[in-house]
Amino acid sequence: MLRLAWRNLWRTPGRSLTTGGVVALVVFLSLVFLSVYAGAFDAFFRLLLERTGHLVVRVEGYGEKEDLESLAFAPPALPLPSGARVEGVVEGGCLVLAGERSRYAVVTGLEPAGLARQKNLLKAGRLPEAPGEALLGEALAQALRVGLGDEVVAYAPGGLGLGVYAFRVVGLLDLPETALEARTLVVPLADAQAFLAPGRVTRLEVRLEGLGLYDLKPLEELKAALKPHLQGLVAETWLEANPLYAAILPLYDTVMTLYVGVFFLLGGLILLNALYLSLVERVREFGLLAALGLTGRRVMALVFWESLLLVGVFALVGLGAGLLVHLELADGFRLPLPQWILEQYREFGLPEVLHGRLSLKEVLLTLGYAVGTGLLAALWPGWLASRLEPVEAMRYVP
Amino acid sequence: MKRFGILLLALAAFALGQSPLEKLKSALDRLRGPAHQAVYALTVERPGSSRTYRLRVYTDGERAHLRVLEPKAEAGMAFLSLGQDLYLFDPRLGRTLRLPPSGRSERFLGSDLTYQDLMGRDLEELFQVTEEGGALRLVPKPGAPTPYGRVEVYLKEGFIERVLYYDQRGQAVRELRLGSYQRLDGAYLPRTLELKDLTRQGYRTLVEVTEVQVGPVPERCFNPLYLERGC
Amino acid sequence: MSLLRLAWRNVLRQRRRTALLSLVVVYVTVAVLFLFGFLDGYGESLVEAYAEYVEAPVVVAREVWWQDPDPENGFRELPAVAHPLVRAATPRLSLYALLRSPYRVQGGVVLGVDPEGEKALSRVPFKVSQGRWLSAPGEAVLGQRLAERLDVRVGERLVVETRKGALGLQVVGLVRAGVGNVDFGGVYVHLEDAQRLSGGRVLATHLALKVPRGKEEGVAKALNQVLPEGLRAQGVWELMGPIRADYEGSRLFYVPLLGLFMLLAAVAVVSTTYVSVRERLREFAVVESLGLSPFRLAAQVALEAALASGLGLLLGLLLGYALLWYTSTHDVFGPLMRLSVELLPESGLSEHLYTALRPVYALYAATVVGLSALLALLFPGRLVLALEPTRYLKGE
Repeated sequence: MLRLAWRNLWRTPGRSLTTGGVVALVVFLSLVFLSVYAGAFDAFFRLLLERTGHLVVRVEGYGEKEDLESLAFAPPALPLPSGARVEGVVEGGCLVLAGERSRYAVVTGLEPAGLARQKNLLKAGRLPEAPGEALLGEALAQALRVGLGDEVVAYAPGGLGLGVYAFRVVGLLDLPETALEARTLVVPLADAQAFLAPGRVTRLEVRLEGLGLYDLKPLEELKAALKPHLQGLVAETWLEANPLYAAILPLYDTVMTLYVGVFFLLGGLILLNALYLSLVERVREFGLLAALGLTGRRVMALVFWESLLLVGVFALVGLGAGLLVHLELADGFRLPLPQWILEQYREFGLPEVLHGRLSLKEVLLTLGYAVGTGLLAALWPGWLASRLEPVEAMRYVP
Repeated sequence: MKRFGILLLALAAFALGQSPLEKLKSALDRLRGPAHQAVYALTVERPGSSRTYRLRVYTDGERAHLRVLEPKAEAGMAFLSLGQDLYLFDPRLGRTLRLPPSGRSERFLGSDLTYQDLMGRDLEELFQVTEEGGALRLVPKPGAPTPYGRVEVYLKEGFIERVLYYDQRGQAVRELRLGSYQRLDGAYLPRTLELKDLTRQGYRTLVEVTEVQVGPVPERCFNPLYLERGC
Repeated sequence: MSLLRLAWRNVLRQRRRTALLSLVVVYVTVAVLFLFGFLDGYGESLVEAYAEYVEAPVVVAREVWWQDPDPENGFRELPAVAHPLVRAATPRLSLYALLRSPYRVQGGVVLGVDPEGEKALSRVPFKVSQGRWLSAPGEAVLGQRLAERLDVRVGERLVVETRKGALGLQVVGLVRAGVGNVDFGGVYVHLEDAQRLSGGRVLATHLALKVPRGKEEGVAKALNQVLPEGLRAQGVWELMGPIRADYEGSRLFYVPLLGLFMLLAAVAVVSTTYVSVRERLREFAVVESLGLSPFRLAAQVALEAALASGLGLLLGLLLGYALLWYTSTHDVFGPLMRLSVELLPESGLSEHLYTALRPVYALYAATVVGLSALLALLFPGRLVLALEPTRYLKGE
């Protein structure tokens, strides 16, 4: 049966190749699409993870608390697995003064590792290397009319620290929303502590090594292990700490399935066309086969096999091509859009260079769609073929 | 005898005739005191901790120059309030800063007192005064930039004893108690001041005024250029 | 019999296969219509948000103000702006201020407006969800989410402070516009209050002009020719923030994809046509030997392909426009947009997205017909052209 189906396919090489080409194209496009989108999505979430850390430790009930005094705490010693790093962060509101102008901003004190992570947001200048140096959001610098090398004074009285601190602007940051940029001031942690809360932090960020992007189980385990050591504090995974972003995650799979479905529906309709046409061309033949004793069901099976073979072979071709391209993408790629658009996307959290990602799940999804399409498209022609009256069919004239 | 009677009548007339605003003004004058220098001990109480600052203060009732003497960490800091303008000197900063007007609502040295409380005359400028049941009731004037809904001032014999600040939802949020008014050279000055934050348990600020020297203060004390080296 | 009628008859002769290939064309047509409707709808929602809520269709300001939006760079006297398409104009004064409620303090941009004039320019005055719009100095209207963050209610006083002064303004209304910038960051006060807060020397920072939709760039350009030195007009697309990149990027990404779809549909049409032609080669041979030129036959083949796909196109247009009509009146993408607004509250996104409905989409979708005809000429058409009538007539 299989060999018959195979031979039948190659009797109309033009059409088989064209239809097969379409199937291969659809599979190829789906894989590339999935790889690109997954790359973008992952990059977005990886950036979020980088900024948040795997686990975040804050004061209990931090959502309701306003003032620095209740949000700051002395960092306890935490028993962490080897390879894990802890970074303290101090964040608080302050007034930034420069000459005649002032703006209300949020000052964030980061450890050197945290400062290093600001690198890809740096629009001009360099990262702080010495005490007293600061990064300003570009919009804030513009509003205050300061540039690189100028001085600003941060003023936050009423805290536990000095309440007044002078900084020299050494770098400017580019962030997704101008409004956010207009209230961003990033400084070394020691300076922020001296300024706002000596010896304290407003959050601890724990970063682990060698974890996959969506690997949450080890994080939950670590959370549970740390719990007895956190008096009055609470630890959250990075997704719990960013609930809005966490809400997008489940949507992604649904949206991707729909997108790929759209491609395959087109492929399926074209396949249906091709199968029907091949039936039309061979009506007499089918009639003869039926007259020779082939049951309706076996005729139907023949049509199914033809469809599956066509789909199978060319899906594999598409798969091969798709995987090859994916390997290229996995190395790093840029979206084929004008530079100015890429720069804006960078502000939104999408880095310019993305890496494709294709997991077994997606490949299986695509192949599943292909097989499903092959089966569904063959349903109707197969049914038609099975119901052919041998005598009439043999006499068929188009 | 007749003259005494007339004097009494005049005094009575004066006492009865004082409008609520006038009462407030004279009570505030007594709160601010005459031109003087003094040492203020400012204690900031929080649940589980307490900090005390010693400040040298020069004021003429309208303007004030404050210098931190103790503790060592903040010693050398100086503040100058000239009505609308506020200047700050920090020895670590090494220079004098001019703070924007919004700085005046900020807390002074982390206490529950704002710069306004220490040096401003907000109560007269921003509120309309009426008298109700022996206490003064202050309601913000239209357009007055104050977050309070109303303020109640309790007087005892013309001295402010207690001030209660309410937010706009009828809840009392701050309470100021003044006591031990001392008489100096014809003018008065309270010796103790207690400010309680009613929204937070255990938040309190105490001020004790000591070593008072009444007398005019050199004009250079109110010059921002002298903030660094003092006067 | 004319070519057209002949082609039409041939197409109808084989109902099933025509129906099948129509399915493909219908699908692709609906996809084209929907995607263009969606993209244009996205663009329109951005334009609407910026033109009627966040900014204005056209804004005129001093060049120095565009570089440094501080009130000190504003107008000391309002410029006269004359253009036949300008329907209304209103001055605005935007300034940075500290917003101080009894419980929170936050920095933000305050917009001083003329309450009545604003009604002709912006939809914000009509989106008051609690209380009412401004009517006199001493009042303020806030975006609803901002009021929640500051913990201020209608009827309470909000202190607005700048370095030049402070005012206690009574919050008379809250606005819920469905546009992030307004709901999360909008503070509207009377122009006179804004003038006081900025020191009293400046009348306004910019002039907002009402211009019919679609004409904004043109009017801005025309105005820039006639405005005095040092003034510049900008149209709504220039006023948009980084979100514009997402819109343009989406267009650049999806339109080629649609082109591919249409090509594939044409391929389906043409493969059917190919089979039809193969079946009728003898017929064609007869006709040719009777004198009909091969080119006319090839043209007929192309016409058949065009008609077959045209049927699918018509049906697709019907379905597609019906779908677009539905999504242009029902907020199907609401939940997705609301999530986006929460994530990026100050980017200019709205909480609703309605697809656009434009006749020109039919033209885009009709490309399938053109492609089908072209491919039909190239492939089955060539069969016809290469036909040797004598061979077929001999019965092989």
